[in-house]
Amino acid sequence: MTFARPEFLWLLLLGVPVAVLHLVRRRRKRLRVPALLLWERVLARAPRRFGARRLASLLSLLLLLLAVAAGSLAAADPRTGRPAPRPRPLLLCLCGSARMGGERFRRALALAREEIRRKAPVDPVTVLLVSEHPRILAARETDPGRVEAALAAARPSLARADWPVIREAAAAVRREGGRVAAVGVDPEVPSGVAVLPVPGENAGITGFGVHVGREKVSLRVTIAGAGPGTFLRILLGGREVRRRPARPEVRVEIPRGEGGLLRAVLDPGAGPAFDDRVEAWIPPSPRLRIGVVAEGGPDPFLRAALSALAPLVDPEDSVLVPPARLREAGRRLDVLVVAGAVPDPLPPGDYVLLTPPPVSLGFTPLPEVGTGSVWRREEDHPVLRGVDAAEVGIAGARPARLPEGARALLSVPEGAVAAVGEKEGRRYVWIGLRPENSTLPLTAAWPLLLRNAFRWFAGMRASVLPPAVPLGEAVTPSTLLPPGVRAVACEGPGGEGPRVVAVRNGRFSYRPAVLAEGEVRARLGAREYRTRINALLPGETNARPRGGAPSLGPDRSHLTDTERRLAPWFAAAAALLLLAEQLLRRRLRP
Amino acid sequence: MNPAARLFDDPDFVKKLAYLDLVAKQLLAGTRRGERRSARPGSGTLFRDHRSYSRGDDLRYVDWNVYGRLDSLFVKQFEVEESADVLLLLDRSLSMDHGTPGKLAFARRLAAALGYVGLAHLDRVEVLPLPGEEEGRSFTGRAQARDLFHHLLRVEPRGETDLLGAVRRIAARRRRHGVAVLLSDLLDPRGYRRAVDYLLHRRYEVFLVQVYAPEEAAPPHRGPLRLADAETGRRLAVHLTEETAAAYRRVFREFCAGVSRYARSKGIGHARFSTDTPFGPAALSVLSRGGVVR
Repeated sequence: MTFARPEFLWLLLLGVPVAVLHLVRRRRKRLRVPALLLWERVLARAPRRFGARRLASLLSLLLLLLAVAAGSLAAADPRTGRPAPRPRPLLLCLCGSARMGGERFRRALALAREEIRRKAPVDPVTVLLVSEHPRILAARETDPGRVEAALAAARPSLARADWPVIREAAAAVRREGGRVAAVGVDPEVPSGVAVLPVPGENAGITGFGVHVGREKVSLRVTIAGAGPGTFLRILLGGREVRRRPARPEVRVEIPRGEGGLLRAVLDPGAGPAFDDRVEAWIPPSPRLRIGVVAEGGPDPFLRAALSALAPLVDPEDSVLVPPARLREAGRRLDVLVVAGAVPDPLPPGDYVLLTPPPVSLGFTPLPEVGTGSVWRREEDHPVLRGVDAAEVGIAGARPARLPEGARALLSVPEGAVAAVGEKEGRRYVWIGLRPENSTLPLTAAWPLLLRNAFRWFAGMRASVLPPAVPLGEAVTPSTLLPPGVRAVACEGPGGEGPRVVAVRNGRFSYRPAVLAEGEVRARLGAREYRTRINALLPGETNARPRGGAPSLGPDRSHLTDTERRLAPWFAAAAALLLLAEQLLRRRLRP
Repeated sequence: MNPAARLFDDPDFVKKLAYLDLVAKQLLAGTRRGERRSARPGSGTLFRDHRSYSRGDDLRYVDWNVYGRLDSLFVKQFEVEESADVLLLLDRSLSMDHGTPGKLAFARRLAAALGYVGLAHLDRVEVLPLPGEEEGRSFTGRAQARDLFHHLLRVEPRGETDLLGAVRRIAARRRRHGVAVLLSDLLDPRGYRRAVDYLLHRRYEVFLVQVYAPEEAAPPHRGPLRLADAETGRRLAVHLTEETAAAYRRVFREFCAGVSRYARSKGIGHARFSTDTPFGPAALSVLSRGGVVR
């Protein structure tokens, strides 16, 4: 037993005056009487019980002394057991780089778990997942359940780890006397940070890098210990690519398509079994919904170009729009391609105008030119990216004088033949060159011009939703919605119908009724934005940990708080003893 | 200071005492003329009896009328009014030095009152402190009342109670009996009865005046006590509980009742005083009820 306030043990000396006072009080008072004659008669009749009384008096003194002792001990705050040790923070920096793919990340997690198991219960744990954008998985957490939940949700990224950012956190933890450990294989750990190396040679996928392009996903997979019959299978969106790893590093490209769960599986063939299985979620490519406004349908040149832009254009939601329904369709579609004549009026929206100069937008038509070539071009404009306009021959075109707010892309001496601009909510790319009257189809610049126009519109219209939302979390806008927007119609996966969600201060929060992966659509006025609910975020893998690990320091798990405060018990005992003494005194009272 | 004032709160109280008289049931023989009938005939004024003439009788007392009728000489005898000896046996043992007010002080006042009554009736009053009866002094006549009071005021407590021994010594020195007033707490370990019996045997007219302090009747203390006898110094350990106190009160009542029964059985006057009794007419009333004075 130890005492938190041993100076109060001096109170035990109170027992001395208490005993003296008791003895003084209990001392027989001397009384002078005229004669003992009558008293002797009294005592001759009544039995003398001095012995019992003396015993009771001694018992009363004993109770008093015990009460004083118990009270003094209670004041000294006695404790048994072992007090909790001083909390020693533990900062675990999990390497979340692409090097940690496959088995390595599991082993790193096992190392981290073992280290967490060895810490004292009072030690707070902070777990950082160090990747390109380091994340805090658990912040000064002492609850093992929460730390485990955080670890279970940890995934390595597909990029390199940004170790320098942990310097400040590591220094802060070290200032508190804590321990800092980097768990992984990345050698770029800052100095002063202990490393828990992932042990053993990792046969199988030892490296995994992903680059998600606009239309393709590029993989760099490092394989160790591959046998002659080993195949690397890359699966994404129903597509499968097989490669035989002739070299340790295999580079694979696979169309991005609808995105989804990408799996890199090493098929051992007849060789030893690999347990590596890297998964990553690839967001879908931003395919556009195109509406074509053309009398009698798109001409063959437009049809061929749209077919060539299949990775960029969503064929399912791209439709032929009658001019009469242009306003209604404009709300749902991303870009409208107008061929032939410009409808009047032209509702707000994004347009690729393959028409004569649109007078309704302020263009001034100029006399038609014959053969010639483009003599001025805006080469830096995104719409002209990859288009060699200098080689374009013109067999006939309708130039125009541009209105204010328009910018010429291609010009002939008489005027502009291609331009971009905006007027009263109408953004447009006007191409006055007809493909059949130019060399654009021959130089393959025609589909590039269209593709660039589509991309330009897509880039200008960023989605208000994040590319993906973790499963179980609410869908919230990534940017503030414009003022005046009061509500958003959201539709989630699992068959739930559209639901109107109120917008407050430019934000809303939508949580699907069903916990399921799938697409979420948010309709905001004429625009519809999409995101996807996934168990994995883009760039995350679903590797699972296992195995043992070396330790960072001495095992502190036994340093539990077994200390028990005895002061209340002693105080209660003192009170009970005093009560018993009072009862005894009342009994002794003459 | 006037000793009467020191003894009595009301100096006029002494005048009232003159109207009282000690009750004597038997005829007492004194040495001086007084107001009390004597047991022997003498030359008084109250006719008592005739007797035959004897030679040498004073011819002045021959009843010549009887001689004329009977032709025999008879001498008239008269009652003599003599003074009686009033012995005030004042217990001054250390047990009397107890109580608030003290028993001895109260007994002193009683003795003064009774002594004054005796002096007022021409009795010879003798104050005999017990123990120390040799310090006793007699007083005669109302004029010596002041001396009597002075003498009483000088009586201080001392010694142990030995009533029997004291009365034996007193009676041995005296030839005549008289009125003996015993003023005491009667707490004699050897018993007060033998002393009283001895006085009665010596034909004394005995009066018992018992004095006790209120705390003797009902002890106020409680708890563990070590009682010390005021006279002998002997000690006794007592744990005085309510139960014990009640037993003591019972014993004290029985003791007092025993005194009363004894006095009745012996036909002697008896009065009992608590020292907190207001001294005055009330005290005289107690004496009167007890048959000590009238």
